[in-house]
Amino acid sequence: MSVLRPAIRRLAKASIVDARSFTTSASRLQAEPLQKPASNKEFKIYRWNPDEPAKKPTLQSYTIDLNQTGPMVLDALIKIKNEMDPTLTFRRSCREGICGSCAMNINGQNTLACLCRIDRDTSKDSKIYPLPHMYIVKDLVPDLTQFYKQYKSIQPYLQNDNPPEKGEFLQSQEERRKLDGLYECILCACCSTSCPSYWWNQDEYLGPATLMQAYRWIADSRDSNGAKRKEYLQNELSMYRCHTIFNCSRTCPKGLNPAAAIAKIKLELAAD
Amino acid sequence: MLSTRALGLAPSLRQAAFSPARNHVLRNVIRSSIAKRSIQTQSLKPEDGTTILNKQRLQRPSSPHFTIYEPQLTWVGSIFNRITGVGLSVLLYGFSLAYLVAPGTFDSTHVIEFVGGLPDAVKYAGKFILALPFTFHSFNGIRHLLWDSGKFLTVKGAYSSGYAVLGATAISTIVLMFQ
Amino acid sequence: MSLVAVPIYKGTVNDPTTFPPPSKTHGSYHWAFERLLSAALVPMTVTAFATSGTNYPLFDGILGLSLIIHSHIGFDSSIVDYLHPRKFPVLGPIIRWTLRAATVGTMVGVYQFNTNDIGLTELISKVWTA
Repeated sequence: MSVLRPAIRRLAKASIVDARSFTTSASRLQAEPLQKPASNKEFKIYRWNPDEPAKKPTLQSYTIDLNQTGPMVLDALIKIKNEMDPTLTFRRSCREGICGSCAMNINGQNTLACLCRIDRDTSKDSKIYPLPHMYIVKDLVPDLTQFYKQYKSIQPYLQNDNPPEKGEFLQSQEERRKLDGLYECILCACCSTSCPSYWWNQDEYLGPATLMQAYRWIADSRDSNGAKRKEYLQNELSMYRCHTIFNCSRTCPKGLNPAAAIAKIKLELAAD
Repeated sequence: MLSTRALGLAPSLRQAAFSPARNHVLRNVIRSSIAKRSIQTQSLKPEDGTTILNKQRLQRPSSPHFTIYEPQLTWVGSIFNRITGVGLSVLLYGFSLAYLVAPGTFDSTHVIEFVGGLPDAVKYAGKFILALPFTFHSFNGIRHLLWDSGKFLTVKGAYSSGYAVLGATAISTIVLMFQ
Repeated sequence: MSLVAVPIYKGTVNDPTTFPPPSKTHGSYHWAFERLLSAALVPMTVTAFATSGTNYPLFDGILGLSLIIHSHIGFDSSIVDYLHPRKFPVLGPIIRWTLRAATVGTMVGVYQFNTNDIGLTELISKVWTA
């Protein structure tokens, strides 16, 4: 084989000279990939192992070449898990910002790892923590049980005992527009875990995500149980722990506005 | 061809192990009895699952919060509003209770005399320490009332009103300091 | 409220959380009253600044009372946030009742100061220019 190779190469070179008669040549098909210099960035990631519960949580450092990684923080995490440390544990699924699994605290802000671009400045390290003030199952995986139980408590389904005799519940375009900015929530828990009131009173205060969904059902013109839904919130803890701190809307990775929704609920409750 | 699609040796080993169908039953009996001797099982009641889980849950750490969360105008402004409010109220309560307990020492003549006798630098510092919390809390309070009526309820609105409050606080503090 | 450790959940993972019994006094009435009082304080403070040279005892009294109630609501909100009795069954109620006693004392003190002395607005304007 190797004896023939120079012969093929000579033929190929000949064909380059005679370029008009050949559209490709063997050497041109095998182009050399451009070797970018390594751009190493340090990631400091929160680790805790439930198999060694007595050992306190630590920040573990990993350095990866950004030129061999995808642009998002999730790509970096997956690269670390694939090539450096398979024990690094985190939730992820869709990698496109719609499932809400990869919610975590990156450089101090709660966001989705798959939507958060890596800062290309290699002189600074990147700190990755799990969602704040949550019980940690392992590494970056929080226990969201309470969050889901709270979501269930607001009865997130249509309640109307008088369905129309034929067809669907009719709704005007104006009425449907009221739900824009509310229904798109993916329940990633970034907002609730960014709220200091939720940090201090997680067991009773519902948190921005759940409250925004409560408002989504109160504001839905097809739902007839609005009065009862509002009555559930008439106590000092479930909703009124909101002091308009505004961390929720600031951190929402989908650009939604729970703070505005909660303000609207407060006005509706006061007007009752 | 099944073997070309499969990955690894396991499928082919399995094929080899099961293809001689003779002495099938005897082979199974020997296999299962050997298996019984090396694996022990423990039977648990259904509730034990929750008990074990709860024991694990108690050992879980709580992830860090205000120590790692980025300082932002949103929550820093909010906690400063509470700190200034509490500080000013403590001053109000403190003075009123002191006057109630000892009206002789804390009446207006004595207080004005005491403050008048302080050096100028201390007077300016004192005015600054009183004016800053008061103006910030007042302007931020108005911002809160605007939020409650439905205005500025976006991230942009919160930031622009927040900077306006900071600006107004700075200007009014300086004005008050030189009154 | 039972003192179950927070990571242990009431009921199974599929049970929704429960709500406390509804009470408008602790809900929307409290919120509305707090906002109305704060809104009233704005023109009152402006007036106090404008009339800082002269002494109007009745106005001073109303301003003082409103400030005290506003402070009380603020303190109470902090207690509910940080020292709620459900998590601090001994310390929470103690602080709450200390606050109530202090508020009453402050109201009496301010009343005395307004009646027997020059009043809060006068004091502040005189101290400021001392």
